Amino acid sequence: MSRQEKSALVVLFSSLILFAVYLWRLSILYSDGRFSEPDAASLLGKSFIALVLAGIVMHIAIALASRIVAPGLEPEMPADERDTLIELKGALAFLVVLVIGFIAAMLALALGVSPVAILFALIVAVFLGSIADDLTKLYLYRRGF
Amino acid sequence: MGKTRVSNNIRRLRFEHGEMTQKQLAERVGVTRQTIVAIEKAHYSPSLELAFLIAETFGVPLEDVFSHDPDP
Repeated sequence: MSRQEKSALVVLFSSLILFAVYLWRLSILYSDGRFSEPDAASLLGKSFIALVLAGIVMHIAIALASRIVAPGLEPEMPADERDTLIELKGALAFLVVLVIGFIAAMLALALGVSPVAILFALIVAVFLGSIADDLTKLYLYRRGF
Repeated sequence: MGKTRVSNNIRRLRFEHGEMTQKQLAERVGVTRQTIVAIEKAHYSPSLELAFLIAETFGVPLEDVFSHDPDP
């Protein structure tokens, strides 16, 4: 397994763990009735910012840990044209999933679903997009391209 | 696995050039070893610039390294 595959796998699993923790935290807030209050949208926005910050901290921690635990895994060469192309294909997968999620959310909004639920659906779409990004990269690295 | 229509003689050329390793070739042309592996297996078609660099490394014309197969 190449360094890029390992990296894509680590990012995928860390994203899954982080989002599971996020959902768990949201479920606690939901059971406390916080999403029935008038500032529910603001609360969801803050929780998303916290999720993004936690993701950045987690990725930095993983990068530092990998340098300490396995220094040999550091890139021997910066990303080349094939890496860039795979990154772009991953970004395209992210965008496709995000746009589908956005359109579905707008349809739900038109059908009368609450704005807070729509905001949550958009956050889920971002998460699913990032998973699609990671899976695309993993698949392309695994296949060779 | 999807193969490209561009086949190559990189493996043979590496052998003929003092059994050059994939890593050595990768370092000379400025890409990762995985990219050389992907090109050799015809899973990835390199850019024109990289293709020329590989040919220059072996000191042969481009068409001696890469060829196009209409029906792979």
